[in-house]
Amino acid sequence: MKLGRRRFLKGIGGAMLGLPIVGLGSPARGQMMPSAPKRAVFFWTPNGFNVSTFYPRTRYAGGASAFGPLTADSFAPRALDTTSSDVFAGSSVPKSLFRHPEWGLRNLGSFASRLSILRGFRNSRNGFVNLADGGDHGMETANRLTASGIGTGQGFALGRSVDYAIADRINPNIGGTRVPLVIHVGSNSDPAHGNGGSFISYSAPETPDPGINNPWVAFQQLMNIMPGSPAQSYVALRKKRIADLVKAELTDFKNSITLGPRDTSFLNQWLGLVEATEDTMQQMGIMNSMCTAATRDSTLPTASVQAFQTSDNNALGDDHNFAKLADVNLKIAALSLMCGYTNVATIQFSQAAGGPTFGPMGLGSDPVGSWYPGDRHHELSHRNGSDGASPGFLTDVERNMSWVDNWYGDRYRDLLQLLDSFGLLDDSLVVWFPEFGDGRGHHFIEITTVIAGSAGGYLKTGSMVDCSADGQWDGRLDNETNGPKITDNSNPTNVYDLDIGWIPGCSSHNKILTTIFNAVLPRDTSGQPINPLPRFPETDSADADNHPEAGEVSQIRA
Amino acid sequence: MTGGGDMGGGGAPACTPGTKGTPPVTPRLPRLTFSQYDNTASALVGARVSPSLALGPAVNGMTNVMWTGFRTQAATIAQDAAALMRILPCQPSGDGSACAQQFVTTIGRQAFRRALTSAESARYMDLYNSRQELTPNGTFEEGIQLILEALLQSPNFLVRVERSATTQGNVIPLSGVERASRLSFALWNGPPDEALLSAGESGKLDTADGVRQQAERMLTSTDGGPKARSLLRTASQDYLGMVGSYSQFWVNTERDPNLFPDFYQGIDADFREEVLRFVDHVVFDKGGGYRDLLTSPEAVVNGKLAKIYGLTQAAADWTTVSLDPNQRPGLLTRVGFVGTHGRFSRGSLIYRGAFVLKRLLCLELGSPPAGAANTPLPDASAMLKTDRQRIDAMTANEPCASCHHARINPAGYAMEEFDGIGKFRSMDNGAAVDTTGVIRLDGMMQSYTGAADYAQLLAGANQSHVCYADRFAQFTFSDPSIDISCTAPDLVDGLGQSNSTITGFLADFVANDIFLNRSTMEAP
Repeated sequence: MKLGRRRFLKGIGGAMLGLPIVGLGSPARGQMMPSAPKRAVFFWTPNGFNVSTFYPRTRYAGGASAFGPLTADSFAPRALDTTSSDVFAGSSVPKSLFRHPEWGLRNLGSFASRLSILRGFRNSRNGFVNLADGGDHGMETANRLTASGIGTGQGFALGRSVDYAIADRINPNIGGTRVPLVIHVGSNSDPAHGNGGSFISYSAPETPDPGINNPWVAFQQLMNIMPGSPAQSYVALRKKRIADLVKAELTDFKNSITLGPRDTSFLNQWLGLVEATEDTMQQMGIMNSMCTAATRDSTLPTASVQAFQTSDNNALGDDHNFAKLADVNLKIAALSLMCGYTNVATIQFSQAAGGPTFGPMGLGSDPVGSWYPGDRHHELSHRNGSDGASPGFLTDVERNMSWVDNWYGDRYRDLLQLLDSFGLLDDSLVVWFPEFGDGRGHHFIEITTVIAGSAGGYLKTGSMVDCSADGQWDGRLDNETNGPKITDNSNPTNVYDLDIGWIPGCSSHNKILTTIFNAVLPRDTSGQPINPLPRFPETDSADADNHPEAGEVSQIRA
Repeated sequence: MTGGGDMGGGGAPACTPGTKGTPPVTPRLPRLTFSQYDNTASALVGARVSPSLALGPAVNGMTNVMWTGFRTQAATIAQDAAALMRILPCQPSGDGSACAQQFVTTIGRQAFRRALTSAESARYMDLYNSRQELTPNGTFEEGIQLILEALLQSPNFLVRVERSATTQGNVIPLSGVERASRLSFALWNGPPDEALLSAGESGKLDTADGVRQQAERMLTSTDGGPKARSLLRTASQDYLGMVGSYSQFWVNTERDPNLFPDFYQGIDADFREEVLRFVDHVVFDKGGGYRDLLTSPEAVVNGKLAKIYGLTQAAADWTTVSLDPNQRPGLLTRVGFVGTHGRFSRGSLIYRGAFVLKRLLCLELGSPPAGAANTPLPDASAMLKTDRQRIDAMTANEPCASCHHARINPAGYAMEEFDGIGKFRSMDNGAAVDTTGVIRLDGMMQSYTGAADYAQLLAGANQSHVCYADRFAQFTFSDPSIDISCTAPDLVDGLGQSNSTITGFLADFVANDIFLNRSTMEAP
């Protein structure tokens, strides 16, 4: 499809100025897009899961590929068990410690047949690290969407992240670039000060994108492309004339000042944006007939976003705003995807070793057990709380962690429901990645990924896959603790207890990224992705500890 | 001198990089930072506006999100009719073009921070002359709105252009108007006023003395003083780590209300405000220097924080007080600092020590080794009564001890007399608080007995002065890699002089060769 949107617009764009935009969509649609666009959404949460409770129950189906079907039964409610004296084999740890009504995916039952749950992968970047900044948190966070090595200094990823790589292939071209919508729930770090743990998205090696953290800003982008009241004729012309003036001044700079590489790249970036025509933006909004002001208003009342118009970074990082920001940002992401502003969205919650206190979200309202509404997610994930409780476990802390997983799980479900109501889910992949598999020991193994949608049949959904060689989790789920230990390569005197739910990871997580990348590419007439990648990342980085593997995750391919 | 903690014992270190007087390599097209954009737009329309809130992430360069934000905000600000009337330099007659031209000349000069060329001016008049097709009614006001909307997204407005190209010696001296801009953004974080711009145009900034004269006006005049205070507030937020990834230690303070009845939700905002007001008061009201930041007994408190200080004064609003100089010397004993640098149920000597090393001495500490966060804090016992004893026991083994016992913990002992919310205590869990310690400064081990002599040691350390000067230079040039310890050693030394002031440092900074000139190299 080389005709492309811009050429199409050139043809009819001029004639359209001044006309109401609604109604122009349908006849031209087939011409612009040969098949329904695919979309990729990345949903990232910090600190890892309580892997002892996170998963639905399923049974090993036999055979070499270690996977089991997900059914409504898999999501059956679980009762709080405070009494059982049953202990794990060979230990005195009661199983009741891990039996909570709250667990990560408990409310995803209605999506059972459309989920793929992957378990037991390892980070492409192995090992524990002790960088100047960020440490293990920074290493895994920078590695998660990039599958690249880690640089020295600030500990940034040495490669571009998969959301940027995908956007480069499937997103609309704005000013010469195709970039994903990156949203950050929480306070932003300035890349000049941040570290590997601050960012998940990278536009280029060691160039993190902090994401838009004020929803009002993202909303303005959306408003720009949404058909609203009929455009008045002068508006577009005015924008163009001012853009021409800006371009003239930028060209003055170019012609009269000797510029170094940094200035030149800045200037070219800007010129590209100025040259992107207004109607490129306007036209995106007609890709989906549901993209109307009415849908927008019923999904997301303007007032709920406008409430953040004057919020500064501290207000956006306030725990009391976290739930509201999550809700508003997910809706903006869904609307932006539906309207075709972007086909790739990344939503980063807080940052590595971060996360709010969940008291404001209601943690602690259940009268049974001990709750820690004042402890941050990170400290809870280490199970010893904000004050480093001895001997390392707060009472009932496992249930607190399950509760937090469940809170994020419900946000993920909300996003799925919204995308489904827009008719997008089956053509999309909505991917939930945690910072760690299990945050307690900073593992670089046991990486979990939840994927919803099939990208138009590219994935076989409705199952849980265990990458490990002996992936028979049904005998292990809910009844394993005190697993193997692992030795710190850089200092063999350190032996870390990998603790609960450990599964030896056998495949690098970059195979998941490769699968996602290829799944959302445009397809040829036989339905095969055009120019798929044998491996993401495409290039190797200068880091001997990064070991990406070729190929896709075959178990989940249709 | 970021990361360079091991300089010789107070003497002049072997200097790399750079020789004295070499300006840092900076871009010719530095885009306004977000706060500069707010201040510059506010100055242009004569009212406080904060348009940067719509720009999205503060990354380098120009993103689509950012450019959309600049355009949207230009239109929004220009639609404010009151602003237009406020800044209109004339009354229109006829078709209004004479007044429009005057608007372009005067407001354009403010926006560009230099006079427009006739070709540039003509572009804006073209817009005005096209107002019939570009606005609903084509009125004079709408034409002026159009000009303002364009000026607010003009590259000459959004970029602090430095065109000077003639090498003189080893540097490129900046032109008068370019110096006026550098000066105003460095001391006011905003655009030059008429006096400064005129001084630049008339050659009064061609000498360091001329620059110093303007700098003194900018720092002390009725009009300039508040802008300089605002600049120092922003620079101090940067210096203290209230922005960036360190800021997590200054926000979302949560304390156990059973242990700390003075805690309230939102206390972190008051804590930060207290520290910033303390700096402002010491520097501008008291004419203090770097030493005073660490040793002054002055404090600025509101009613709620006064309670934590044990003061009985009832005023709810911010007011200045003098505290016991032995108990409460300077920044490191302000409740805003010790109160934020703590944990749910106690103060944290680790956080406080790490603050001193990272923020005041510019040392890079690295991050804790894998599994460190799992190390439990031992329960209090007969052997381990105080927080200090328990924390030292927690970090006593490798791989913790080599950093914690040699460096981090001893940098925090001095503040052990302050609990998790910053209240003074002499006893901790029935045992006397121990505030003695040893810290390595300028390559020498220095012992101290408590907060007061600890503050004196830090205040006198060359390492502290290098760190302060570097941080200010990095902030000014928006480049965290800048190190001026060798290119402007006089600035560093100045901070250590017994009678030096921070305002004096600021004036010295802008009159320094590294500031008045450009590097002969272009930013790579």
